[in-house]
Amino acid sequence: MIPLSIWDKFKKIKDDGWKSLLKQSTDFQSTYYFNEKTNERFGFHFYATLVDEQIIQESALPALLTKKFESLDDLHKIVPIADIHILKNPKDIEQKLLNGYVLVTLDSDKNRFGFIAAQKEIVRSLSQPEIEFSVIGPKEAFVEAIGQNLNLIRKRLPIKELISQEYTVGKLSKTKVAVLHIEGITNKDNVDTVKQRIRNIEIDTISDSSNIVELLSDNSNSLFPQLLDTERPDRVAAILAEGKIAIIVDGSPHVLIAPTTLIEFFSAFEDYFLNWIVATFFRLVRFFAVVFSVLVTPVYVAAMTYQYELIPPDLLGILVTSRRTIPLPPILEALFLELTIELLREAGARLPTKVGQTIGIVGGIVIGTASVEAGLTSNVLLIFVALGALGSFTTPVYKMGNTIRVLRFPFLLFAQFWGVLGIVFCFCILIAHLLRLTSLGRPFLAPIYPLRLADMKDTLIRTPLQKMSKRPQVLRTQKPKRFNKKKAETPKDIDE
Amino acid sequence: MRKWICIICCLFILSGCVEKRIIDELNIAVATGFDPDTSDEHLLKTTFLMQIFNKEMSVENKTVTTSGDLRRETLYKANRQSPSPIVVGGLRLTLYNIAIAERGLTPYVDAYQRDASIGKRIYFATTDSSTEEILKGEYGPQGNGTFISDLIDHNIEYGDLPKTNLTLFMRDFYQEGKDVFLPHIKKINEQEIELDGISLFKDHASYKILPSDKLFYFKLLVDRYSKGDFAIDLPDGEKLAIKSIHSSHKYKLDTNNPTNITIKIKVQGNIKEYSGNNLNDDKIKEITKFIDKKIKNECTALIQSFQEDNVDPIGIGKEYSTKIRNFDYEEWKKGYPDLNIKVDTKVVILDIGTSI
Repeated sequence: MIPLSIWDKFKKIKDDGWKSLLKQSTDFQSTYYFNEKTNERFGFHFYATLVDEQIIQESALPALLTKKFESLDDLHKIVPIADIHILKNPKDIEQKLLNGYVLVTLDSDKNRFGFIAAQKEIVRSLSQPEIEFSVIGPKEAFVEAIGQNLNLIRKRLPIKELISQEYTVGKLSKTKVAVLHIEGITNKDNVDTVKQRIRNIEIDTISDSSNIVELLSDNSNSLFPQLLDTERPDRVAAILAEGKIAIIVDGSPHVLIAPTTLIEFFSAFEDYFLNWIVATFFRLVRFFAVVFSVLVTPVYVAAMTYQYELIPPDLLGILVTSRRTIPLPPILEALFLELTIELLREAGARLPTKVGQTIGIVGGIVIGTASVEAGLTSNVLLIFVALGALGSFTTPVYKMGNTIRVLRFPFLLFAQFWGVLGIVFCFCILIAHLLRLTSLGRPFLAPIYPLRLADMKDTLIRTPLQKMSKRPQVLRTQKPKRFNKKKAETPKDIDE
Repeated sequence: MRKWICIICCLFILSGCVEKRIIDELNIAVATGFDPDTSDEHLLKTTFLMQIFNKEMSVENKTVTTSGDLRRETLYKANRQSPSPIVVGGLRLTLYNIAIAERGLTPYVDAYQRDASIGKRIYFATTDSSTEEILKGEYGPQGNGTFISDLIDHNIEYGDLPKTNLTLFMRDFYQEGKDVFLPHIKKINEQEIELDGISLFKDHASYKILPSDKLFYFKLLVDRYSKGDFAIDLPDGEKLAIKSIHSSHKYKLDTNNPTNITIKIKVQGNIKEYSGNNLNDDKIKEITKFIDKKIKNECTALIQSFQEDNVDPIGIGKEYSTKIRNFDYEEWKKGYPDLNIKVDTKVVILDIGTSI
């Protein structure tokens, strides 16, 4: 038992400490009232900007003023709010106040502090997904508030096995980060890895889940994102059921998914809402678009500068005529057009939407046609570059789209220096890098390498849902089987 | 890290070692022709045919002719007449004057084989007239090189020309058991040329032209038809046109007596046009029998003439070498004229009046 005098002294220092600092903020309010029944003086301390004043005025204050309030334990009885804490340690005061609690002090009970939850939730209403928009399927997207996002996921997976564990990251921002997984399905090592990495994060502020991606990535120097981010609750729910882990970051409408693979970045969630044949076709189109987008200008440069033998004889005439008046060598011509497209994209992204539309027109019509007419670029290349740009926008995940856009520039340089050989060389480097890349220690190129034929059902193609009865092998889940394949494949009619 | 810096430095420094050939700074030859030099100073006279693409997408023919003793020498000389370096990577066709072909094509084939920039599906052809004159003509808006190579191309696919290109030519050229042949082109006038048969080679040198009316039977023996047509005169004076012919041939070696070999030819087709009145089943049977016999006779005659000349463009020697263990080609070659080669034909008329 600590002698009372020392305790009082300690408390006094602490007391003044927290109060003097808090009082510097103008939105910190501290008021005292007298209870009508006992005439006891009690204090209300809170950040006016963090608490919902309606709760104070309608629930907390009237009860405390009119009902019998003798000790802090009475708070539980008289205040109609569930989230009430009575703590002894003055160290908790700062954290609780900043989390939107109201501190209640009672003159006759100075050793303890009462906290009443009165958080003001500034939430925006749910909106449609903007980046991963789908014509059919749910139209909900995540918002910034972590509670609301959790709610969206829990609604879709109403099982007790869905575990959510919260961490606080950032010395200053104190961002809440929740790690979600399904107990009994998700591989425990993966969950532990995520938790450990989040605990080990040493940083002051977290602005968005993208920061977490960077801090959690196995190789942060890679051009490729190693955690999938999505704004669709339905996708997160489906992927959790697959045995992966979701990471929700407070203040970010993008939920992270780990571990992920390269293939996953090219699958739009809408694929699962369409007929599997149609979806497979769309996926193949998307993969073709990506390969085309990365390679078309480099191949053009290589063929024009070194390997003219590659050009089909019927195309030769068109290419030669289109290039005849161009003063620039193919590489400069290609770089000029690629940079034009990049400038347009960047300008469009930085400008408000309404001005952005004009940029599209200026870029598309004026620069495109004018540069061809002026004889600066060939019209054939203009078509290739425009198609390539279009191809890079087909990737469903925005971050991967950016990667694709950057990826073509090294290819272009290699094509200029070494022709087709250079493209092959660059491709080898790319493949080597992708092979080494891991997401939470799981191979990034799976199931292509290491080859897992059973996992191929949901990669370049999407097989019917009944056929995908097993979770990806590469995840090493605790329950590899999702459902009984035989039962799923033989639907029974009522008259059988 | 140092390793990486080293590699990247090499990439940039060594890039100067790669020869740049920017497409619009080249003079791409689409066809070449080899003639004997008329002035007798040199061995060769080479004609390079270049395409000049106009703004309106039409093609202008431009030829450069030079003389020399070596193939490369003529190319170097031709560059003196060209605004930009002449390159041969776009070649689609090479014509040989028959006099050159009679000297033997060995040096030319070797050069084509070694040049990696030349496509291996280009065509070789021989001609009676000077190749310079052929390449200087004006045959069509697509340009002479394209015109002549397309002419050969479609006659292989739909016509009576057996499949030929540089790869197949080289294969037969170097392998034992088959003599090569090349399409033969004739110039009619400044605007027209035609396919005028096949020049047969003996020991890598041209020796005889097979006229175009024998081509149908020749193709039946060496290649197979997938599409094609031919007309025939019937003994009763009527005429008949047959379309969409499918044909295949098989060799059957008599295992007891290897000097006997049978070539089984199967021909299928539809009667498209008939000058007579009524075409009933009996008549069709009669016609089938007649065609059967006709093909058999013509093919046998062809083979006999090859045996007399001791050439083997059909590749019977190759067939033997695949069927007989420890095959001695030299010995077989001596016995070749005395081989008993039989032709067995089977003609099937699938349909009349319609065409697929």
